[in-house]
Amino acid sequence: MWRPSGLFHVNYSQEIAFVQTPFQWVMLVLGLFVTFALPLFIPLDALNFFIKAFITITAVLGLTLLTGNCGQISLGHTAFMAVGAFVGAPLLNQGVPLILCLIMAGLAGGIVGLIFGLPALRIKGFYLAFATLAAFYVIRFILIHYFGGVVGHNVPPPSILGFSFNSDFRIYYLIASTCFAMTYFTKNITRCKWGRAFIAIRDHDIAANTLGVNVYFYKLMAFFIGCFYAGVAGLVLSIYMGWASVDHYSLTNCIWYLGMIIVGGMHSISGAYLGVFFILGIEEMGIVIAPKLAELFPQLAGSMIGAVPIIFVGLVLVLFIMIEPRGLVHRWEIIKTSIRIFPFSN
Amino acid sequence: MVEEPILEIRSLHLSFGGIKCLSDISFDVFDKGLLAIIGPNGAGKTAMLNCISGFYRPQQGKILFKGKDLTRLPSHQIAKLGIGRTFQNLAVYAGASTIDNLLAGRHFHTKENIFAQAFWFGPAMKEEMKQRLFVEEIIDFLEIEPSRYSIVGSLPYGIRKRIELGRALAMEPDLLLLDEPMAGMNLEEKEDIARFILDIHELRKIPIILIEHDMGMVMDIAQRIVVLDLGKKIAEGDPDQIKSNPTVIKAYLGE
Repeated sequence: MWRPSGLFHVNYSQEIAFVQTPFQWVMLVLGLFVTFALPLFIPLDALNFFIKAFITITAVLGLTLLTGNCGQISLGHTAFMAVGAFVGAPLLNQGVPLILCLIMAGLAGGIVGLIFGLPALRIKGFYLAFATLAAFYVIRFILIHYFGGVVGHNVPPPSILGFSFNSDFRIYYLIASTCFAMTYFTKNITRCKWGRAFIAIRDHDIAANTLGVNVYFYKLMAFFIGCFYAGVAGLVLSIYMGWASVDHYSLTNCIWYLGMIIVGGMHSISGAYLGVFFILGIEEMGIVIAPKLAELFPQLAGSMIGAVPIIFVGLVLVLFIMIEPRGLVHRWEIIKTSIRIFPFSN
Repeated sequence: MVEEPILEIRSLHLSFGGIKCLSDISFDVFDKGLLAIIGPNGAGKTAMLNCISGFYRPQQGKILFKGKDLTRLPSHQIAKLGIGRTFQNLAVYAGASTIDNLLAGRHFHTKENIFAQAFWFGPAMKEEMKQRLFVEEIIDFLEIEPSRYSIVGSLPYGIRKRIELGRALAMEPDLLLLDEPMAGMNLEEKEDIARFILDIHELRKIPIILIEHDMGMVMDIAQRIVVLDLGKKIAEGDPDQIKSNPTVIKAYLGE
């Protein structure tokens, strides 16, 4: 954060404000302007990249709260996205207003998440990861067998006040604004009592208990809120795809989401943004490079196209865990500090 | 006039399987009292505190706090009744800043609802400000202003101990349980903590139960002392009585 000398907080509200300096105001307005003007300048391919990124960010923000802030690992995040999509899509088909559908999708994801979060009351860490992995398959099974999951649901282009989101160009605006709204909620949750209770549970659940935090309640609420994000992201993804099918919500994606919060930085919003753009960027790079590698090694060409992006992402994850386990955000903090105290080093 | 005790321990029994951890312990903590629990290692001092804050469920006996039995209440409700505590091993939230640690201590004093919070309108902001003001007073009291914004995990041990104490104070407790607040400190740091404990006790009028191994310190600041050995209470009295009590000397030095 660039802060000219002599600019100090004079009260507490300034200190926890979303935007703290005039420079940040400029950046915020500029950032929003660029985001919303982007589709006018870039080709459709690039636009699809951004759409995918914003959907992923919405989902990953939920994971940031659940795993990064509250310390509850979830390997079932995409399943909760699927729940959101499978509840939201039929509602959209029946002509329920879009905003209401998004909220219902979020609530459905949240409630299912809360139910499958129940094991978290008893188990932690590695074991919880496996319980949520089981949740992934249970939900997938239920969706496939009882809610028409393999075929899925058609999702009509929704509209708000007559503005129909019927092309990628238009859907981009829906997705970007959903993502920003969710980001704003995340920021607010993390700076209030709830966010602090989550951190308390992550860092020392026994101490949290003696300080009056009802650990069971807040763990479940972390699941509810985290999966609310997943539900919303799931519905938004199905709107983009025009179709809700369990195949869009794979386990691989879920593991990559965890990878994204590791690469970005577990418990911050900017971490979610950085991680998502970084991993998706690496993946895109893999997709571009793969055909060229295939030309170089013709005997491997068949398997290379699909494998190269995954290998790239895997490699990046391993490198990050070894070199910068606290993520890009941490590295960015270090850079910021060294710029601030420039002639000296820290 | 007889003073009403704020905390009454009545014939407490605690055992894990065949191991008797506490047997037939009874004592009272009076309002405005500073009670120290001492005893050799493994005497059951921390187990005693864990019973009070609801981690262990004693098999028999009662713990009455303001006339209410604590033995079947969950920990977080015991905290709400007004019992704050610190831990022998540091239990700060290492990943959060000092401010957030202390604000987390204000948890059940913070009246917020999640919807107002998520949209961050009117009352949400005001409530945060109110809690922050309270926390700021504690920071001032414990003299940790320089580390206000630091991540607690990066602070030195002595400061972390203070932050833990501050977090317990932020609860506005009616009874404070301190489990070895001076463990692993040098003389100067110990004196600081002793000063804070006395200030808490005298200015804020909070009764304290203190577990400590530094006898000199205990004898200086405690008003009453309970001595435990192998799960039994072997003596109770003011520091002078304890110093000259032959059973206590035997427990510490052997025959």
